[in-house]
Amino acid sequence: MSFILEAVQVNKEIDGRQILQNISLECSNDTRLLIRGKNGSGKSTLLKILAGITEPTSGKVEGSARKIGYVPEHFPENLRFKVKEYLLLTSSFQGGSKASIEKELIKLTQMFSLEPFLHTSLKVCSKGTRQKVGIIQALITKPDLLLLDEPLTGLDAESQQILIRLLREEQIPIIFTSHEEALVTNLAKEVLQIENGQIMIQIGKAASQKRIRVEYRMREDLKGLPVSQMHLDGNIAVFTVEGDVSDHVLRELLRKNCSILEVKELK
Amino acid sequence: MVGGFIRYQLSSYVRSLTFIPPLTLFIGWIILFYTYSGVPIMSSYAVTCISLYLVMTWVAMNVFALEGESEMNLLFVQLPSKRDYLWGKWVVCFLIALILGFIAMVYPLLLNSFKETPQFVHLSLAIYGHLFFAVFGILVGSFFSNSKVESKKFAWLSVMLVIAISIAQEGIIGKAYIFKWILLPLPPVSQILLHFTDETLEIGKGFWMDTAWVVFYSFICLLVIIRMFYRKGR
Repeated sequence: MSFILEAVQVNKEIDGRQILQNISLECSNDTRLLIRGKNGSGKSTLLKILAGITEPTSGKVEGSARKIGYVPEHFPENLRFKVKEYLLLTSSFQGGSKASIEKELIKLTQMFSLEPFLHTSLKVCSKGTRQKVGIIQALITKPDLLLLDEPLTGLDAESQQILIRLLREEQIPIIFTSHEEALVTNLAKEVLQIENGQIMIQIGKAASQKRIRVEYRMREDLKGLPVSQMHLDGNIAVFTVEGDVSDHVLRELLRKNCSILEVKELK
Repeated sequence: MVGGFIRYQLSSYVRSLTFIPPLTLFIGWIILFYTYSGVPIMSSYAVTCISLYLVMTWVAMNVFALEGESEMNLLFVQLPSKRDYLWGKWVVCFLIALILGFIAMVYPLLLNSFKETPQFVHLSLAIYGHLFFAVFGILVGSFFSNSKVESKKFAWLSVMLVIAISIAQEGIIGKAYIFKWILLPLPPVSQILLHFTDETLEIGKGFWMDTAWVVFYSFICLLVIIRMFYRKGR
């Protein structure tokens, strides 16, 4: 089977520090892969390797994707171009038809309400506007694969919803990193967790976890609850539960006269 | 070759205003240099060749430093290949070199500054000299822009050292022959300047041998820089 993109045994070392170890992943036409991990775990580096920006120290990345759309976490701040000029110039690099690029440009700028800024210098645009430009430059050439590094960063709630809807509608394989639950729950089909530079694949719909802090009366009340982790401190218990069973756990706890002190979504 | 990327680079270079110091200095120098008329042809062209070498190194360093890391990363993905990025930079440098070389060669002709009328052989040698001095400048600038020199200051100092030694290498080798081999990696500036004589110009076997070395050197340098460019991304 040929993949849009395939990483085989990828290792990355930066300044003598091992960032990624033996990372292998495949991306096919319907991929919606979320790369998860703590700050500095190597998510962005992995995206850069997949995008061809940086080379792996060992291992290889190959596939049939010819055009890749990449959205960096932080869009460059000092570009010496106006919004429209930048989008037209960069989209001309791949040599597509000018008419189709302009048509797509109009569609996307309307969608993200960017028309008033088309002739504004990117240097003076707000962070959110620049992020929208970053998203449009990745989508405008109709890429074979989208690599998104925290794409919702800096976007207002409305633009976030527009982007999520757009990404759900587009038939483009996507590999992304995100700490935003909205994108995770609406887009991810698979999750790849990076820990200590290595991966732990979790196949299936990405499920968020919740942390529940309760005050209980008797220890027996806590028995049989479908929780992943439990810590007890006096008569306070802290549970980590999968998102899809959290309502059930809360109902059970309330039924047993426990007091819910806090419910927190984990990313 | 991606025309769009060359337009992108040229616009970015012009708007960065980093072109002002080297280009002003070069054009100012040409004007100052030809204040007096009746100057010898090849010696004058030799001086403008060296000036072009210095200025093109400066220009190449500026062109390679146009983007921050994040913009460069985006360009690597937006362009069909990383190779286009490197070649696009070189094309931009070469276009600037063409303009500066043209000014350096045509300005004294328009002002009739030379003590005798330049012949075809003078002009051919001048074109050859300016062309390769510009190429050397671009190569030296590209080399240090793509090396893993951490400090920018150190890169500039290294550039200045390489330029100074390469210009003075004939004298250094004259003092101690062993330097002929030690200085081999530096641009073969003297192999071109040697033929810029105001006595009888002779295009003989020696000239063609030197030219072959200059072309070979430039080609090898190009390959080394391409390799360095790809290795820098690892």
